[in-house]
Amino acid sequence: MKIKCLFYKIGIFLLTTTSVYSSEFDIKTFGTIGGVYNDNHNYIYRKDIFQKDGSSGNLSFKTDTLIGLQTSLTISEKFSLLLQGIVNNDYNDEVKPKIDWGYLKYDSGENIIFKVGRIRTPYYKNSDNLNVGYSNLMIRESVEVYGQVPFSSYNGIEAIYSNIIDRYFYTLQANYGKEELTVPIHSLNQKATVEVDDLYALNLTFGTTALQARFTYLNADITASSLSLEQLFGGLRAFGLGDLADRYEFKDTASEYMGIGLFLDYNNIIFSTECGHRKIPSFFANVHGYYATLGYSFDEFIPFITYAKSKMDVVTYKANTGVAALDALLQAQNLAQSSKTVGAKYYINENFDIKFQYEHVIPKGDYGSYHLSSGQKPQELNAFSFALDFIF
Amino acid sequence: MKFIVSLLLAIHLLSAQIVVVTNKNSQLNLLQKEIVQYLYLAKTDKVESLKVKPILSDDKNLHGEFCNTILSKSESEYNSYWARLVFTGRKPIEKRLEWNEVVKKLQELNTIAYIDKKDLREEWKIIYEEN
Repeated sequence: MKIKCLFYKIGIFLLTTTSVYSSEFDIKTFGTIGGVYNDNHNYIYRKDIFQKDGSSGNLSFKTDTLIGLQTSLTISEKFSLLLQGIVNNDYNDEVKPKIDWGYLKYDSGENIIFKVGRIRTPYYKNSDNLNVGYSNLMIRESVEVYGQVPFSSYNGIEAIYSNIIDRYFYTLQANYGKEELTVPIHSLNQKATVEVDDLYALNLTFGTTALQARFTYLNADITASSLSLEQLFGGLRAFGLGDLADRYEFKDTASEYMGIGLFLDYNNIIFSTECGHRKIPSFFANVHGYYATLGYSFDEFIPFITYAKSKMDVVTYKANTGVAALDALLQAQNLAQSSKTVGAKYYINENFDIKFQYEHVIPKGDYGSYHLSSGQKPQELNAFSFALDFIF
Repeated sequence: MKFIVSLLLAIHLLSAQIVVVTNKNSQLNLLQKEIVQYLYLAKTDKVESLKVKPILSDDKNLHGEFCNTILSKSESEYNSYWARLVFTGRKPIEKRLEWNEVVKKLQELNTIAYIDKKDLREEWKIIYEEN
């Protein structure tokens, strides 16, 4: 019934959006119809922490299925307006449309581009095209890296400078802005309002067509608040536990993300690896992780394998602060896991591809992994996924 | 054995000799392979202060061979890359053009296109040739 509802809403979204089409606009569509089966009833397999429901011993179409529309309006040779929206299953387990990003772009024609509006945050190689399955090798990127930072867009500005030195290209991105969002804490059945201020990021990508490297640094002051968080930290201070409150409260916390990546595409061999380190000194906890993917291109058919791992800087699931409510909050932050994936992508034509992948996930520690745990054993998951991606 | 040699020879003769060309009056001169790659992968759109506009051919064989020999990618990989450009808001390279449209576009200075060398016209000049 919910699947019917999903496709019904997708249809309504398409009809209402395309009704505003005129020849001045360019409208493009992308999407994925994907299913995943996780054989472990003790976990709900999700794409990221923003999904409430997923696969738990059943076949779920909620994890990866989405449809997106992109409209662009070219105002002049240098100015254009772009907007991208998607419809998918959200953290309230509801299928709703949302604006993913949209901005005014100024292309100076001198290798410099400025954007103002709602912009994708450039943490990872595929940050910009995460929802465009056709442009990615895997059905979903390794959550051990791509799941570390709980927001993907911000409101602000971006400057991009690209150029060539001898036989090498480089692109430098600088970002500044702010963001406000709701982050679910599923295991505690709570939500927190997160305010991200003074967000600035730098990203450098350089190399050749065959070999590229990228470095990312992001810094922001972040506050997470909710009634229960205020009660918890207010209570700690009232009982003379100010040190504990100062250590774990997530208020104007100077937060950082650092990432590096290396990508090879040479003689049909495809290799990519990214490492990321999130530093948020609060109950939200520091985490680091990496993935490595190796594939081989037989033209339309690309098989691949991936290994990924994430680890908390300090183990949270054994938290013993002497305050039960704080311990429960800390334990729920455990994102430690490793995964092995084997899969393949097959290009059907210029508009469609199909993908299959098998993923073996090993959460580490109680309440571990990005997938929602019931706390029951065993902890290992086997997830079988397929997807049909399309672009028009 | 003779059959295999003949087959290989036939394949070689049927393969297009790919060259990248521009208008003869353009200030663009010979380009390195990497620069041609960056232009077609939209890593840059300028060469020596000249704004360059690359165009794609709808000739399936020619396009496939261009992707393989010049861009070192399969045609499918390039399609995927093209989708990445379009759906991340970067200025996309236009969809593939018919031969007549390619000829028309090459009247513009600093537009570049890949063609089979046998189709080279007087009003064009070669700026990259695969050895």
